[in-house]
Amino acid sequence: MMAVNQSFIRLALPKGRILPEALQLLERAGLGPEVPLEQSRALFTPSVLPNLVLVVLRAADVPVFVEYGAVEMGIVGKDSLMEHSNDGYYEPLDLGLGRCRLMVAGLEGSAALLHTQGRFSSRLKVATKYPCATRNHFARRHRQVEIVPLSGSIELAPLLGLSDLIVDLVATGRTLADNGLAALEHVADISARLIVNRAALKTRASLISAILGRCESAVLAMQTAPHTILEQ
Amino acid sequence: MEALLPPRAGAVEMLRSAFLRRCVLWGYQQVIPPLLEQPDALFIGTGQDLRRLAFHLTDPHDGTLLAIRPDITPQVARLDAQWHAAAGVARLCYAELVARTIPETPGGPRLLYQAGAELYGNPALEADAEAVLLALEVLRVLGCPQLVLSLGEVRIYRLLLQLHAVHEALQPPLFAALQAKAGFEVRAILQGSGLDRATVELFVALTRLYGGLEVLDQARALLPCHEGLQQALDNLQTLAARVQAVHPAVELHIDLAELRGFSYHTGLVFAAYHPGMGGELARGGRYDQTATAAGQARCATGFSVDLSMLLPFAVSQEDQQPIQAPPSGADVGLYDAVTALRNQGHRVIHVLPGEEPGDDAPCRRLVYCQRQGAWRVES
Repeated sequence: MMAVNQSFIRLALPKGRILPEALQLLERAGLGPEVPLEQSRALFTPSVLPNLVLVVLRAADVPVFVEYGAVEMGIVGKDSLMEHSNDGYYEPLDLGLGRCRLMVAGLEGSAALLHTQGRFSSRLKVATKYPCATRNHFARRHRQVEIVPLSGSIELAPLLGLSDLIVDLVATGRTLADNGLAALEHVADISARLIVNRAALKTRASLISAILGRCESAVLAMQTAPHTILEQ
Repeated sequence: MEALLPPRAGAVEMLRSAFLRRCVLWGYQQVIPPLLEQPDALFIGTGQDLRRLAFHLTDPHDGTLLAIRPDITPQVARLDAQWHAAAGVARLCYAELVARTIPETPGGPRLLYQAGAELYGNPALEADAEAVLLALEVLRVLGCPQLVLSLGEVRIYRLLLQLHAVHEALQPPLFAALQAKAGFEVRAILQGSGLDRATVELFVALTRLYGGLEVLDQARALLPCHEGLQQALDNLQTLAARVQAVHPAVELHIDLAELRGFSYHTGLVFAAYHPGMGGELARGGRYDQTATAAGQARCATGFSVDLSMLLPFAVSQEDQQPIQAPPSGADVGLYDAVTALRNQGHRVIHVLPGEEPGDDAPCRRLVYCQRQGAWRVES
């Protein structure tokens, strides 16, 4: 295993839907991996930029590693960040990757539930993978809700009578429609963010600023020519 | 709430006494404020942030509400306002426990060993410089080999809010976005708020005003011409030069948008970091107080540290095994020999009957030398 010491900046990437787009962005920024990640079995992959190491983690773990300073930087969806307190990291860049919306959804024709009592009790039951964002959303609307925390197959919850509503990520809305569900209320716009450990931004300022600058240029370039991503 | 075991407990106590000793050498006098107080007394002159951080309990004696201090600085400020205000400048230091409902660092302890030094009654930059230089010296004395000092000024953000009359409802989300250095969020919050585009971009640019000393020049070019703003930047420049002259090895960082953790501060703020550690080692700044029921208005500046953050640098005094002496019995000569060793600062234990030596580490023994007719230490 390659040694990782204090002279390196470690950048955490999230497994899953954002990873391919994140790697494209890093390559455009001149920060991509030395060898393709799928060909590497190592836990750490050096970047083509000296002193930068890439680490792939579960998306929900990226903010934890960055907050604790175990890695200096991370790329992660806003949905994962909303489940954390945001005291230990900065969020300087919206990478614009993996855009979707966090929505309240329910059975088609159930929009009235947002303003009335739940089927089970006066408190609405809401199933979600995002308990903090859900709690904050309904608290802002002065609604008491019972949150049913799930880790997957959220759409099943209202269909099987587990909950009145769900809060989940919606890209096109096709999965919802195929299951007789509809998006009812907007919670937040979601996209991938670049986050930086607070102390690291001060103690490793020059290298981190250089990486931030490269990422920002790549984001701007991709925004002006977004079709290059869709084609690949 | 973790228990500290040997050798960490001893190291914390060593850090605590070394901290206080260094402050005393700078002319600071120790105070010990009470652990529990009525909330109104505890939070004079501070924001709501501290109330949220405090554990509250009911006094079974008379049913009144009490709070455990989450921070000692406001307590010391009150003691100063009550007892020292007439005396001009006062220098006070402390090292005590505080308890917080929310840990300072994610997953960190909620019981902290807060040590600090506060200087009251002087508004000059010279007083701020004393606080910064004492903080750096204390950290060096406590064993921290490499430091990054971040300097900031809370007045810059507050003056910009005033100058551009940013609506009160926008201020909390703007503050949060600024603390995340999320320029794109700042733009989204302020667009459509009635502020002109240049002003919106000024707040966006504030999120990027961090880095080396060149940030001060960037800020001069960017910020509106205003006496308060220029004075804040001049103060930072002067202070940075002072620190560089005295501590050339300390790396300087400027951050003009850093307000997190400085809820009651009113001017220059600073924090010290060690490369490779994910949190702050020391934090401080100016927090001039307005007149309150508790006392007169007082200028104030100072800093505090969480001693447990410095444990990785602490050299344990207990590395060497204690000298093992036989059971004392009625041997006055042995007792005197042991006392003499202890007076010289050696640790000595009387091994009790049946007591096994702790581990395999090489130990030193106190043995009676028949030839010399005296007790002597043998390895």
